[in-house]
Amino acid sequence: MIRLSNRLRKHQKRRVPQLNTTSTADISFMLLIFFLVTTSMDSDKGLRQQLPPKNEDKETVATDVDLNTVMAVGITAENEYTYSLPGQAEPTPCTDAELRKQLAIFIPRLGDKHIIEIQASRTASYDRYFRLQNILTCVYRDDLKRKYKQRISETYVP
Amino acid sequence: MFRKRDRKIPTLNTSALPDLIFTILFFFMIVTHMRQTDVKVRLESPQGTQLQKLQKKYATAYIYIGKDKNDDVKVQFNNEIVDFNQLTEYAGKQREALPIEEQQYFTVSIKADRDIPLGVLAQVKKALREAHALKINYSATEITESQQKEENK
Repeated sequence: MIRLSNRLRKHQKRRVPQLNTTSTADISFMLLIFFLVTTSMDSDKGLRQQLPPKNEDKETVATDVDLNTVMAVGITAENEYTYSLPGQAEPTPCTDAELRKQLAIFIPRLGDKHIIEIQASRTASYDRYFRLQNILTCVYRDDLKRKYKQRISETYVP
Repeated sequence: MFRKRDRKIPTLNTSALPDLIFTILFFFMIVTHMRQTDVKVRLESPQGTQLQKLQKKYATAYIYIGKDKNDDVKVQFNNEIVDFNQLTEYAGKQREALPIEEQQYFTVSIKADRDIPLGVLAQVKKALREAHALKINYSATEITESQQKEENK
């Protein structure tokens, strides 16, 4: 009888042993550090551009362009901007801000018919070219914004 | 008179710490992506104000144009330094590896140093045109317009 009761008592005492989880935090910390090191969060940003398709024909067909709709923008070998409006013989050297102002006047004036010709020297730096692209994007976006504003104010009847 | 109390520093309950760390871990696993390329050239990208985010990362190839140790201009395609005449082949291969319906989204992100001559860029663009990789992206760091104005001064 005594033995039996002892055995019963023992049985009641038995519990599920607890798992020692103190090192789980360390393990997950190590995983975290591993991921921090091997991955990168940098989101790539840039200016998008579409290249003209490859010319399959051997002969290039010249198209007539009305010279009155062409504004030529140049980057000289000395990394200076120049521009020449239609009918202008000599290109005028200019700064970033001046170029932007001229483009902002020229593009809305001719609307969809305008052509911008870019002539860049092979030895000019990429930074200048990129800035020119940036200026052009800026001007086009401003123009688009202006057009939308106009359209909204036309249709808006209070 | 006074009973000496058994004063012990209470232990901090750290049972929730692993859960916390796991949450941070999962956050990082989701928002970041594995570094695929290792830039082997020296470059400083230009700054712009009108940038757009690059989409469809799986359909993107990376070209890095910069200088190596001897200050020669080198072109790196994805993970290796290539010659100009190899560029068409490499870009074409990667484009064709994509499923047909995704090929139209194939974009080449060009990350070039500020001071490289434009002649190099023209050669790269010519090679890409031959590979029918017509969508390109000039990678840059973003600044605000007011920052740019200050720099111009």
